[in-house]
Amino acid sequence: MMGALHYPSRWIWGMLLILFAGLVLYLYPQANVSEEKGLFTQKTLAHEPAVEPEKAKALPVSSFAAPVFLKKENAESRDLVSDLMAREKGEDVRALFAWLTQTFGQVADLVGHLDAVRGWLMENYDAESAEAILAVYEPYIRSEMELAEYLAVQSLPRTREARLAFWEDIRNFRIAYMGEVHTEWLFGREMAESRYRTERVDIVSDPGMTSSEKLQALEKLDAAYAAEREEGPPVSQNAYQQYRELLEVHKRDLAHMASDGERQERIRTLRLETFPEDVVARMEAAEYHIRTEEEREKAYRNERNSLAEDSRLDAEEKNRQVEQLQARYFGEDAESIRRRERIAAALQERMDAAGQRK
Amino acid sequence: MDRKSLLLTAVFWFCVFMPGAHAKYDTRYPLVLAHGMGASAKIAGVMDYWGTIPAALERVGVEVYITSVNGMDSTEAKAIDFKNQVLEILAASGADKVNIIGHSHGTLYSRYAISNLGLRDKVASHTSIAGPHQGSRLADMIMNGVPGELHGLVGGAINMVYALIMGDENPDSLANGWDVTTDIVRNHFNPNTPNVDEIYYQSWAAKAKWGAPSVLMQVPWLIMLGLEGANDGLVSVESAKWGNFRGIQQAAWYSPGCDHLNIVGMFLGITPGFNAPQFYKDIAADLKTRGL
Repeated sequence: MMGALHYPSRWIWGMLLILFAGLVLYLYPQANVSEEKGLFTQKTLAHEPAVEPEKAKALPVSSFAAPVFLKKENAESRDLVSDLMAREKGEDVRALFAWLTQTFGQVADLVGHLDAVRGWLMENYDAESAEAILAVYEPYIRSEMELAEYLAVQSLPRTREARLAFWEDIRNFRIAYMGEVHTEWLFGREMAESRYRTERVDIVSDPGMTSSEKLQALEKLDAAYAAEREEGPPVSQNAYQQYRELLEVHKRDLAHMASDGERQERIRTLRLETFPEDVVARMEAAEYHIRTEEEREKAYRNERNSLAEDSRLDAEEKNRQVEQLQARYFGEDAESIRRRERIAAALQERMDAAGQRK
Repeated sequence: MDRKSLLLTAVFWFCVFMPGAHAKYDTRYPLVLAHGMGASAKIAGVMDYWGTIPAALERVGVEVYITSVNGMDSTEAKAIDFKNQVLEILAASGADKVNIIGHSHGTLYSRYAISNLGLRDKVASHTSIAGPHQGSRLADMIMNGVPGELHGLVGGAINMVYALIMGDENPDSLANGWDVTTDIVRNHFNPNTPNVDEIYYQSWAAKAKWGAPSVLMQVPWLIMLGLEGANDGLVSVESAKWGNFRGIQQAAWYSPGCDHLNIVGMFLGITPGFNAPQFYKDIAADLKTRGL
């Protein structure tokens, strides 16, 4: 009976805690950092600058330099933005915009933000270029602000179709604010890539498709992307990532193979399709090293357990022999295994205590 | 000047003035991404954990690798799996070392792999993004709130979900939960996972200012606000500090903030006032300037 009463009281305390948190939120909306210092917090060298809204112009928050300097390359272009649009430099512009939002983002309102951005642009660009950039930045940031409010009331899309519809919805939202030309210039590639990634992940992780069906579907997807964007699909050029994806594509086939030997042979074939032979040899050497380490640790744990269960030894003798064992198996790294065992013992103790708690 | 000298001079000046489109970001060592708790490299097998970040990094010349361990498992088990993948990456890339960027629990198991599993000579830097380096009191509250009799049952149920839906192999959600509690992290994990002098450690925190943009983070953020103060929905700003603390990502004035999911561009890569791909590109550029 007491126990039955005890559980609900925990939930009541939980609810009180949430209410307390709400009260804190109400009374303390800026959520200042508490002064508590953890035991092992290192000395910090760079802190969040305490930026007063009115000082934001002078104190940028980002600790990074501007990612790109935009410049006009064709003297015949009307202005910097026309030049950048002609050269399809939307991504560079987006990078600068993201940096401006981040760097001059700790302000009170849009007016303060635009003042800070204008000030920085005027310092770093000629007046004509600064005005040209601002003319695109202003509708961009207004659109992003409205989008933030819009997204706050949207639910997370759960299916492939819902995700694709979500992208389309956002695209249309931006077009309404910035027009189709600027939306496509600034976000076109990013949106197309996001859609492509969504579709690619869906195909690769589809448990109902065989590897050959997946490879065919991926080929179709790549062709469709290339036809739409007039450029290659945004697949990773990194051979290791391609190999990992290939393993995922073949996951079902690998799981249904008759023997482990057959499976290993198929994996080797997939590796040779992706890497040169010397890299495959290095990967196999790494695997051998990992297996050897695993076997060493297994053998150590067996011997250690036998020692722990040996009733003829007293505690002191057991400790002495365990240390010898650690030195024999791990040599210079013996301290690492001791540290690991200390963490594991604390965790086990905590879990055992929790399991016994009434 | 003979022809050979002319040729060498031309090559020299070409190298000096060669336009390096990617020179800003191509770090000396590859970047290895270590994801956080509750998901693998793919969330429920259908969504990329790191979203468009790897593609954005690769486009500017960064060699980037994504690792994937169990969503719910002990720090030690995840660290072993992570270490094995780093060894495979080193073999595949031919690199001597890697730069690790971890998020959330990924910052802890990668630290464990460095300090306790022999990766110390193979890592140049460790960048921590919203890592619970002093544990989380939210984890304390949850783990201490489960009645003893239900402890095994709750753990078993979560393990089953992670094995069936997320594809985890032998998950251990209870160990994962306890591993991020304040007592375990502060009193056992940190003293037994010492930083390596030769490795550059740095960290960033995320902060939701007046609400968490991600629906999933809203209630935990509110609870954490009462428990630990400024936080991102799961990890407090104070807990996220490790090594050279570089600052707080809290998005622009019009956004409620940057929560624990936003800082890695989740779920669909659109975070009001914060551009995740650019943030990670900046980290790469910064590592490059440090010669890493």
